[in-house]
Amino acid sequence: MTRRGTRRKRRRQRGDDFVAPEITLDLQIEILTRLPAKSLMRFKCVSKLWSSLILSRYFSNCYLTVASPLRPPPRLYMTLVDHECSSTEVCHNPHESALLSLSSSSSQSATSFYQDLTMQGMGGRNKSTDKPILVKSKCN
Amino acid sequence: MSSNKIVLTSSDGESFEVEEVVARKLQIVGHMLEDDCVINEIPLQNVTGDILSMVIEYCKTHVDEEESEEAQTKLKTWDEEFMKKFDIKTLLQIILAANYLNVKGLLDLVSQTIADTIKDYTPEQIREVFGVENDYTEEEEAEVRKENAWAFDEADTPKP
Repeated sequence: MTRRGTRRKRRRQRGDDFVAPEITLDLQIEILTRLPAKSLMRFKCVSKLWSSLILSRYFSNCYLTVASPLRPPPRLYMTLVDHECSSTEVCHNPHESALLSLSSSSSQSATSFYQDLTMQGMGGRNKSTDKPILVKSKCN
Repeated sequence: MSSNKIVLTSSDGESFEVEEVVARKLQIVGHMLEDDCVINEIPLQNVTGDILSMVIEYCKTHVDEEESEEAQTKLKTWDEEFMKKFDIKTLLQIILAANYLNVKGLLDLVSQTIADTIKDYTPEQIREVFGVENDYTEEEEAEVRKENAWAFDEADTPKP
């Protein structure tokens, strides 16, 4: 035990001044899941490993189960774009799009979700139903 | 609950005599006691005396977790003040200790404190603190930075 300790110490002393303790991957995840999304996007530049960790499905699942005071509860953001042309074309009338945001508490069920959509997206601009509506969504 | 005393010994040979209820907050100790494989002295190989003393201070304060809201608020304030004492290097030592000694409450607390501390760090600072090797080529890194430029606006200004 003592011998192993010395060896590790020697390896650490190779660095110039402060050498980080060996924080294991699961502890790194423990810390990263508590960060705001903006910090995470910046920390993708740290290394390839950090980038692939942050982008992994495993990490985002962990991320969503940990509550952090550094960020608001997750919300679903959607833009509704009233589309005159083919469904793949970019909308050139930004005033005809609407941004909706739903927090998880306000969309407990699919029913209330669709009600919101109908009221704000369709009713507000008096459009007939045969025109396609493009829905882009993003979860933060 | 019995008021047995238990001696915890750190890797550098420092000994701490604590009440059994306090020692049980360290789950690693709790498991040992349940297995009956220790009587009253426990060597803890992976933690130094100065860090162990902080962990014990946390456990003593949290020894009776009261349900009342008032007690909870008081504990929370204590936690915040307690964490303010440490710099990032010490916080990283504490997270390792909390993980090894298996003190769930402290692990959560210190993880959040580290996140609060590093949230405005630059990637360079992160590499230094966590000892991460930059395996990007210059071009690759520039590309990733460009893609995430919006996340950099505050980080590049020096912190007060």
